[in-house]
Amino acid sequence: MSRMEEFSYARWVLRINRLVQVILFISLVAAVNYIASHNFERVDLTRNNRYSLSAETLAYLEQIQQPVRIIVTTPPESAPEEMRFIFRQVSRLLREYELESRTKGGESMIDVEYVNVYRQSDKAEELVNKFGISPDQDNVIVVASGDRYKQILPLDMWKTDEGGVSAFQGEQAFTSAILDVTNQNAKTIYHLLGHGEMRADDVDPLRGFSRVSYYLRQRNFKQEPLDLMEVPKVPEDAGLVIIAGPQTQLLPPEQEKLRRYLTEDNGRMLVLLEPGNPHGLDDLFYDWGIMSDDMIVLEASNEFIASEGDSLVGNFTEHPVTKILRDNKLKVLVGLSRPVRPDLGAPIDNSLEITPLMASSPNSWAERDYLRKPLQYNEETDLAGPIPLAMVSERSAGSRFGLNIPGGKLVVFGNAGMFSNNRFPAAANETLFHNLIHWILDQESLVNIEPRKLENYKLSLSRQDLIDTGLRLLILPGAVALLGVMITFIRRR
Amino acid sequence: MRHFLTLFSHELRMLLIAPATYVASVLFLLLMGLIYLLVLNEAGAREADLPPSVLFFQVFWIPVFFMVPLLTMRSIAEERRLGTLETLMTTPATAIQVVLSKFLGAYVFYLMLWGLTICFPFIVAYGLPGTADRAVVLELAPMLGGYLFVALSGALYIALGIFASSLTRSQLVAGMLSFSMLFIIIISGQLLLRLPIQDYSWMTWLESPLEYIRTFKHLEDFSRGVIDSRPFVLYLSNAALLLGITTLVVESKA
Repeated sequence: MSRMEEFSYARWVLRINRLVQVILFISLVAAVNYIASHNFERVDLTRNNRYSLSAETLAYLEQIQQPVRIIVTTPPESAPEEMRFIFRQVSRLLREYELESRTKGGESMIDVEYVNVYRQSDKAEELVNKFGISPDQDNVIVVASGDRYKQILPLDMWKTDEGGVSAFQGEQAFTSAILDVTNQNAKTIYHLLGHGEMRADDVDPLRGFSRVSYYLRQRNFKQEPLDLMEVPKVPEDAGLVIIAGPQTQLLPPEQEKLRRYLTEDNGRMLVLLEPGNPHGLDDLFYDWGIMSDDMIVLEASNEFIASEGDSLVGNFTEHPVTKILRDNKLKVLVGLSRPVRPDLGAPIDNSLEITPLMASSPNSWAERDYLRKPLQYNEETDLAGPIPLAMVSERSAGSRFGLNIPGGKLVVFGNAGMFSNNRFPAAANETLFHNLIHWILDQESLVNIEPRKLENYKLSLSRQDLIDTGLRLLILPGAVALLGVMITFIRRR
Repeated sequence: MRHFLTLFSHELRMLLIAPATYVASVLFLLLMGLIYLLVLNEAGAREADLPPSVLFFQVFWIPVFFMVPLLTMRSIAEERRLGTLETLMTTPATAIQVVLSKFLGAYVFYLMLWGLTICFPFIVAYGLPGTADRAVVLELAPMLGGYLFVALSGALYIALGIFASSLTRSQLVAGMLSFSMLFIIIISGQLLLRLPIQDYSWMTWLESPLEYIRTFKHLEDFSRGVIDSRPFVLYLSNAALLLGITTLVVESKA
């Protein structure tokens, strides 16, 4: 008798066979699950894709080159409902970021860490020491990548109006923060000095530029002063040169350095002029098809004059910078301004695109002889309204291999005071500056992420309605019970 | 296939004519109706950021914990206790056909019970005066996702119950076993985070597998109307695994 025919031996073989089958089966299922956990798809069935990220965010997430950490503190059990509500919204949104930032290997480029500061002392310590969070702060959200980090405040995520919180703009806040911290080769913004310009460290309400500087610092922009008489050319790391309200003329060599920066280095420049002061940039402006002559824009209609003689400008043209202002009929507060208009005498240049940004009202005019009183519109010398107050001139550097290479951008405002410390937070001035900076630095895709309307579900049910509903809900079990009784009765028969 | 159909139709027929089925259904619907009413009461009392149907599915584990063991504990354990499993195995029907017919019988009943609860929002909506309220109660995406999740996870839970039932001759033991296993797979991921551990850093390697199996995360996605492909693989492949192992157990013990 062979060994295979022995009963006990065959039983062992059978057992081992079963065990191997189980192990193989488990390995197969584990492998399938492993693959599935790294390669998956999500479909949002809700109306307006309420839980999906916007196309802009998705496009940006695809470009992330280095890992991003998002640290969120979890609210304690005793936290008020509002805090837990914020946490729920944030964690839902961050889950989408985490899932959408998967690379081909399935690993997520965005790692969201939830920290219980009472139980994870090492993480709490890191928040205080590395990210400078005050230890008693609740609801902390930090976005970090490499050495760069940014804290998101709950206020950044909520849009409020008179009725309270109206929309959740967490996506905008997170995407901008991720953009800020991952942008390793972020370029520096230079503030031109040497001609009595508004200074970035000046807190003066009228001539100070410290609010703008703080705004830029908060968004991780590096800022440096620039004196063109001391350097041979505009530094290479310049992302933008801001010339804010020069009191005296720029000298021809300075103008030439700026001209080269704009034309040869495809540079970006924001010029805020002041009426009454010569700027000395006429030749440069001529190259870029812009003209800002020595005139003052005067408003005749009371409708557009705010207190203290400032004008309210609400006449915007269609442009990415002004889109939100135009759509929402917002206005900006502008002090005395000089006209900034297209230079009709400039040579025709097809690579140049010139767009006015905003204009005064049709009842205004630009006065040339503004020192002679009384000020009156003179058809021969003055310009009739509406007068353009800001111009954008953009040069495309040509398209090679099907790629449209972005060229230089020059934005000229006829007024510098609108971004001074006291006017920057007024009206929609900050919004205009925000859009302007993002557009000029080619980050304008982020400008358009729409805040999400808060969905609130509430039923208007009275106690009686609830009792009626409860009774109606009994219909179903009642019907099933009846069916059961009928079937039992039929079977008995 | 023919044998499987015979076995399956027998299972269904027994299910449909047994008074116990109707008693269980009525009790289930009364409980679910009560839960639904409480959810509506909550939605009427204060504003919530989620529609009532999402809140309704958040308590899906209550019926699962008692329904699944009750539905499955009898299936194979009873056959073994009575000795009918051996008889069944002498027929041309194979072990896998027996296991599948038991599984599908219980699963169809499970789906049927949950399916009946779809009537709740409709019954409520058509009794409500305001159309705005009606839209809140009848939001489609969360309902679709929620029921899809119940159907998917149900496949695993029922397979687990059938597996527990194949391990023992005692219905009681089978019921307790399946309850314990359900408790572990549904709640454990959630509970792990609440353990009184000072430092979690040594557990970080567990993070990603735990995230993958966390039932409530998947439920949250589905019940909001976001359909994810991972739970499909997770629940269906593991259900297949459990049914495969059950077949081997039945083969070895019959």
